[in-house]
Amino acid sequence: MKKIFLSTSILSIPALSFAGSLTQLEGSFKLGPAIILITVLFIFVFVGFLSRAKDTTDYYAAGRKISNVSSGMAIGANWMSAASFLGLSGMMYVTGYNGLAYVVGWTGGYVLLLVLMAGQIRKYGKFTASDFIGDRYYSQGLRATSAVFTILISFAYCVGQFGGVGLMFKWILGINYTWSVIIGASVVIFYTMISGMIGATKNMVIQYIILIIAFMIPTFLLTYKFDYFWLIPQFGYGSIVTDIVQGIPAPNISDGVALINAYGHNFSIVASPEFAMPWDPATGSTAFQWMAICFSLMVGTAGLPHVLQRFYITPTIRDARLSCVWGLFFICVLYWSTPIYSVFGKILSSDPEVGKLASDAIVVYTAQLGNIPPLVVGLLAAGAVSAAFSTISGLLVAGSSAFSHDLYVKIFNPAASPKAQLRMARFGTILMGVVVGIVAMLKLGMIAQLVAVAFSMAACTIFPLFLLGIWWSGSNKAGGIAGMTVGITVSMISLTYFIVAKTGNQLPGQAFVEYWLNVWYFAWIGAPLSILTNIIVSKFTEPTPLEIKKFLVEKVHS
Amino acid sequence: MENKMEASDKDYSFSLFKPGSEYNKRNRNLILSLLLIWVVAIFGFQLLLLALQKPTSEETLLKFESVWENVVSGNATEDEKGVYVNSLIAVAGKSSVKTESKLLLNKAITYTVFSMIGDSNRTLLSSYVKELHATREMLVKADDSEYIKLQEQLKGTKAAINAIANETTGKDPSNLKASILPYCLNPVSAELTSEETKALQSDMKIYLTHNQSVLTDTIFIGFPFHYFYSSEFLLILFVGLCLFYSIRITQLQKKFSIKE
Repeated sequence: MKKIFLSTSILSIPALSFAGSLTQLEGSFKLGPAIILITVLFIFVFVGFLSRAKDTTDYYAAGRKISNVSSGMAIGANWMSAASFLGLSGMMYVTGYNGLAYVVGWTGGYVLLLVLMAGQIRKYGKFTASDFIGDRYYSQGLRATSAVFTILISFAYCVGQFGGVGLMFKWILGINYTWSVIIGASVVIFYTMISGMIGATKNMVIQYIILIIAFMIPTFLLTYKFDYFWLIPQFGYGSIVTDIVQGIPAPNISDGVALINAYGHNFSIVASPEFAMPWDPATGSTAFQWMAICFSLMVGTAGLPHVLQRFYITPTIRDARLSCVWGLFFICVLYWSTPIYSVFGKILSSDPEVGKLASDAIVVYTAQLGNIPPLVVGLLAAGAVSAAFSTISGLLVAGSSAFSHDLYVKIFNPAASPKAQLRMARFGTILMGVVVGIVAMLKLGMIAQLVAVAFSMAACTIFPLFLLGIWWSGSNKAGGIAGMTVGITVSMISLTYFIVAKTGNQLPGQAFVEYWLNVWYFAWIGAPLSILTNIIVSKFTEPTPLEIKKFLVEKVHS
Repeated sequence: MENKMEASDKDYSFSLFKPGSEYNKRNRNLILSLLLIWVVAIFGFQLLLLALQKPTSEETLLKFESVWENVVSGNATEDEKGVYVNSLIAVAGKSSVKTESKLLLNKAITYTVFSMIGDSNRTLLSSYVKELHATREMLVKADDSEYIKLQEQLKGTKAAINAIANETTGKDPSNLKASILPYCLNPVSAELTSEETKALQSDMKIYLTHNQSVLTDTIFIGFPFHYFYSSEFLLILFVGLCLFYSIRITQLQKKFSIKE
């Protein structure tokens, strides 16, 4: 049975409570969504207060007592940032099939993580990624370098999250960006500071539940409302993709009310195959870029410090592996649903009156345009805030651990008492949170955009050290340093050209570097080069000490 | 399994490809098999798409090209101009069109539509288009009550524009292209420069040619097959590979009495 829910057609969308431009988020106080948001913020603080960290094991590794399902949810929440929640649909809306490279890249990396690293990292028994690198390569220099990278990656990533927090706070509470950052940063710094990894992880479980419920409800409503298969919207939206490709003829109009067309819908769209066809000329992307992005994101995922650190928190090695499986499943639940918002965004914005949607919060725009009840849209916004908070808290723990454990304790003050270590970890969290908040308030768009570099940089620097460090005892200190140097060099070349282009200038070979060493995917060449360099240099330099080889064979691989 | 090895450097050498113990060999085989499936599933399929793809034109491009020479030389009939405008609107109606291309399309549509209507209607059409633009700007700032009034006003303006210009898109007012047309018109008509003409032809080819193959044209549970494969199947496969590895490695550890 065909349904006509809209009183007028998509060609004349009613205003309801969303008067004004339909492609802008209106920034006035909304009571229902505000109650949801404030409740959620109180829960985060309360859970953090109840889970206060008693020692450094609690602070860095949640006491190593998180079950595999909870750890999986935490992996999912930690992974799904505001960018994933809000921006990935936008990416697919703008670039069509090319956006799927991000979906495949951000999920496929977990296969690498599981089969090559998760169990082995847990067996190694450290607290942080830098800890592993420093011990395995018996190098304080590599420990310090990777700790600095961890802080930089976490910092840039964190700043980027506040864009999403600001957007949602403005939409729900009607407050400006600066106050959004102050409130958001205060909440997340407070609960992370007092509870460290243990509170962050428990909150991540709650945040995952909130964000996934918030994300799923509109998908059911939208598919039901527009008469597609709604029982499993993740499959039901396939027909919408085909409708976009083939076009939907206009419905008949009587007295300004749209009746159904031959397809049974009261909306229409011109044929737009470019939305789904691979590397379509209209998108300006190529097959090489699709595969390079996909590869770089997968390898980068397996090298991000705040992701690697999550495998230290489970009680057993088997739990570490299972948490990875659960984590991937929980991530996929959201990523299976992400394209739904992009396809509805495409259909709803085909109305010339609406025009092209801005891609920064397409999930919320689509829900608004689809006339989803405002309270549900409010829940969606709270989900976006949860996604941002879970990622920020994970990054704060990763960054502060690198600062306090890897730099302060392991390099500058090895004799620090456990109490002093915990104090320093809390200080690191506050310091990083405050600096991130201040930089976020400055609205330096450039910093947020540097998140793009994080994946490829992690893929070129940290991933090779973990891969070879775990799977080849011959990889030694000199090889590690040489490999990391190559990785950093490739990263710096790409980063320099990226920054120069953003400032409106050009360097020699700008177009060449932007295509072949783009910030999103320079790891396609950087990671293999770093691995190759590590192998070659290791072969010709002093071998790995016996005790490390022995540890690898006896503790990690048997 | 106990590694009863001599404490020599050589005995403690380890690599994925020289695993030493039987358990490690089985683990290596499992890892490499899964990674092979993983690589082929992701990149093999994309390479297959690349190998099979053929640039395929939309029907609109064929219609556009059939009248293009006459339109450019100024010899197009009214019917040919109608085909031309309709093909331009079919591209302008795509939400993926870049801003610079949209401006160019609007300019070409406006010029052709204005050239197809009588002198007396040009001024009238121009004023309606101005009114449409002004109303849209007001809509951005309107509150709820104003918004509904302005929507009504907008509906009337669009109907007035279509009444003058619908000869170019067909006489059916519910025609999708007729609903897009008012938003493609500029208040003032101007001829395209020779550079703009070239750019327009190039844009039309870009937006109306797609990489298609049997993999993109086959529909599978509603999806174009390749879209289903990348957005759904690969994710299912990843979860399946991870689950299989976790189960299998636990079985192997039991078999070889490995205690973690």
